[in-house]
Amino acid sequence: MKSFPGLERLVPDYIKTFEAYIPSKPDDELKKLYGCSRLYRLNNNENPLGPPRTARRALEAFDSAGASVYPSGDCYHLRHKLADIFGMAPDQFLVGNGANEVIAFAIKAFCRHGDNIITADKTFAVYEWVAQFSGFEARLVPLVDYGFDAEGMLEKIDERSRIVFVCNPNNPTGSWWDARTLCSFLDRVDGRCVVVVDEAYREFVEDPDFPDSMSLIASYPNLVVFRTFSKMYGLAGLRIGYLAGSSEVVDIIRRTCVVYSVNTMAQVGAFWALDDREHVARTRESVRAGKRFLLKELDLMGLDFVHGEGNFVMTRLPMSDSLAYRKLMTHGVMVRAMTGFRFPNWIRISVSHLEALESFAAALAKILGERKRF
Amino acid sequence: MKPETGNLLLSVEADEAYLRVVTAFVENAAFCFGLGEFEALRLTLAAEEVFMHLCRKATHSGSPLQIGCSNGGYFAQAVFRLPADSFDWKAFNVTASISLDDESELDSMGLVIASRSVDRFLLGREKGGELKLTLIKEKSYPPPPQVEPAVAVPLSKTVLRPVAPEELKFISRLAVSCYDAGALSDILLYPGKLSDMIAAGEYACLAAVGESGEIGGAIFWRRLGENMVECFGPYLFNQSSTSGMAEELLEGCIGAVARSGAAGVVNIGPPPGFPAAQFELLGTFDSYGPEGSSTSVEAWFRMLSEDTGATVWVHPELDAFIRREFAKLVLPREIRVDRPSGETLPRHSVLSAEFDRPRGRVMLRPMWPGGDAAENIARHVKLMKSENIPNIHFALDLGEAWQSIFLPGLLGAGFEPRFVLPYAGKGDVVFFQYGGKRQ
Repeated sequence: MKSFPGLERLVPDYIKTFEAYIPSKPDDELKKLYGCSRLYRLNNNENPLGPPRTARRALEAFDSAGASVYPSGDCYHLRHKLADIFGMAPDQFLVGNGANEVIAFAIKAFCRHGDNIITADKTFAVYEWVAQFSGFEARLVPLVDYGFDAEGMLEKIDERSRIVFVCNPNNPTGSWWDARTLCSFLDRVDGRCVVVVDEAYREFVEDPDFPDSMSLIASYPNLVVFRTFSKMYGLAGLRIGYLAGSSEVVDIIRRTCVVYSVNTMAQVGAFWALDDREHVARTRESVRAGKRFLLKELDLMGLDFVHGEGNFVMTRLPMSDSLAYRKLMTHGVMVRAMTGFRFPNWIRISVSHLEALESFAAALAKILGERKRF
Repeated sequence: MKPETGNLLLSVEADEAYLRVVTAFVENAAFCFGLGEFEALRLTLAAEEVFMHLCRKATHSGSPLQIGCSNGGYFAQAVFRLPADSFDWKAFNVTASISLDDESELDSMGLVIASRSVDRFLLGREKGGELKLTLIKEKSYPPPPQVEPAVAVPLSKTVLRPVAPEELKFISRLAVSCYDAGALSDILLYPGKLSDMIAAGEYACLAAVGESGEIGGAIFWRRLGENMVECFGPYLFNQSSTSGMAEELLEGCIGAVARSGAAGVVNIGPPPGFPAAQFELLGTFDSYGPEGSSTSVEAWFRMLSEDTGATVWVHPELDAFIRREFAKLVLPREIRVDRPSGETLPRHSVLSAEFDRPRGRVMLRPMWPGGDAAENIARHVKLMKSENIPNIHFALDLGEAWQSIFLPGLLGAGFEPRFVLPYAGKGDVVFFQYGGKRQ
């Protein structure tokens, strides 16, 4: 066989030192590995109610012959619908293959060698990952009282800072900035860099003090808002999310956007999902009930917990979170071990339907009980 | 400041005419990377012997050959990439000897010299099928000077931060003042080496620091292979065990490596006061002193990520132990029971031997399979006993199917499996101790 020089010499240093994310195996494989007959997924903050009825009907009616035709390259109809809903122009929206893709679009659009992005140390990891494997510095600001530290982030901004990522509400703590805090932050950033507000869990929030970020776009041309159809709208399996901003900022980001990355089914599902007015209310009620149950159970077990807005709760265990994950898996319950979020010994539980939460609570109580006896 | 970590590459042909180029390259690189004269010449000698052997025996004359030299901060290394069939690797066993009466063995004399001239060598198979031989020579560091004990004051409020280079020697003094030497990692006993290791990025350190910069405690860690982080500590200096500082240091360490891609953190023989609740006890082994005393050493571990399962290859005689350990640790594994079935093997196996002579320890690892696996293990045990090394350990990688060939020889020689280190090699690694409690 012809021998070639090693590939290693072609690889940038920031890729050599970056470790690939290994997603969990499919459910059937996990059930085999952990010896459980059913598996409740409480790890990805999915909506147990599934997609809105309007989206289900549209997906069921989808003509499979349409699969041979390329999708709308720029999600034309969906952007127009979003524009109608938010009172903005269609070119102020950019749709991606999940919000993860639009994170990459934004970073590619604004960062060059030597630049940095700023975010929190204990938040959604993808901002940090995309920056690092693209060769940019990720400056991480510790949370204060489980919330984003506006002052700390402002202190980190320098002339090479390009984007500040604020996860609002924060995954995994559920903390959030109110309208006053966000506006004050945007004022003090004063256009020096782009401010991305990731609102993946925005639709779960009922507090009127939560900022109406879409309306702030008119006042802050450097503000970019991320939303997703994966959480509230139950379309995680189709991968679709979007960003919104001033026409100027979206036009710049669009230059790095890969067209045709959002498939037709996802566009159809998202388009019709927005029509179901009752879905959001039903989901919020389900989350309220689930949280009530979960918090009561955690309290009975004597565990500390952190929760805010969003369909998740984080609790601190008197043991390794990764061991708790494995033990819970043997009971058919999958949670998120939080060491990867820099919360060692914490787990995050998605607020799912009651049956799943009851199974989780029973399994965790058993595991903690065995530990005490041991 | 992180020193320049040069990576130098020399492309030559396997031809003795290039010998002076090769030796000048390795010698100058070693000096450049900070090795002393003696160490630089030893690394050069090893490289010379390997190159000459390649020219004479291993490759077609004139074959292209690449030699890399790199700076590890506290060591320099020379890397040869070789065709898979270049050597009979027998000479790289620490037990190898050469009969001066046997001309065929004289050919291997150079390799024996090479393996003895360096502190460590690694032998691995690359993805393209070629072999990678790494020769490693460490800098020499003076023994720790006798210094006045350092004093720390109890601190009511601390923050965690990385340690400044100038603080490392003071931390070393604090550690020596507050702990018995037996409870300390070796790295704290050689502050100069520790500084170089941290500067080179091989080790990292966090300290708990008071408002005026007083140091109350510290924790160290290093990457151990691709998948594992080994941590040392946390060490507290005159701080209350109920201060929460040990937990904070440990959490700081875990947080620092949480997104590093490592699968887990191991802590072997942690100091008193180790916050064990955050870890899982893998097992214990017995540490023997030269006078025959014995202490039990605990091995603790925690995963950094959610275990997505793995496949392991296990010899039938290890099957029951492995299943018991995996059940205890709740590790999802597909266990493939596999025994040698008469397939053709190379004649000679190779074991690497990593010595810790001050503590009377050696760790043996399979480098290459061979039909003489059992005899080779027995030879190593005999040599270690003759050198009065009471702690003989063996690491068997269950992710490498070929290593199961060593299992019968291990059990036959008197080794016993003590615990499994998840993901410590290509797969999970079984830690064996020679003799164990029966010794």
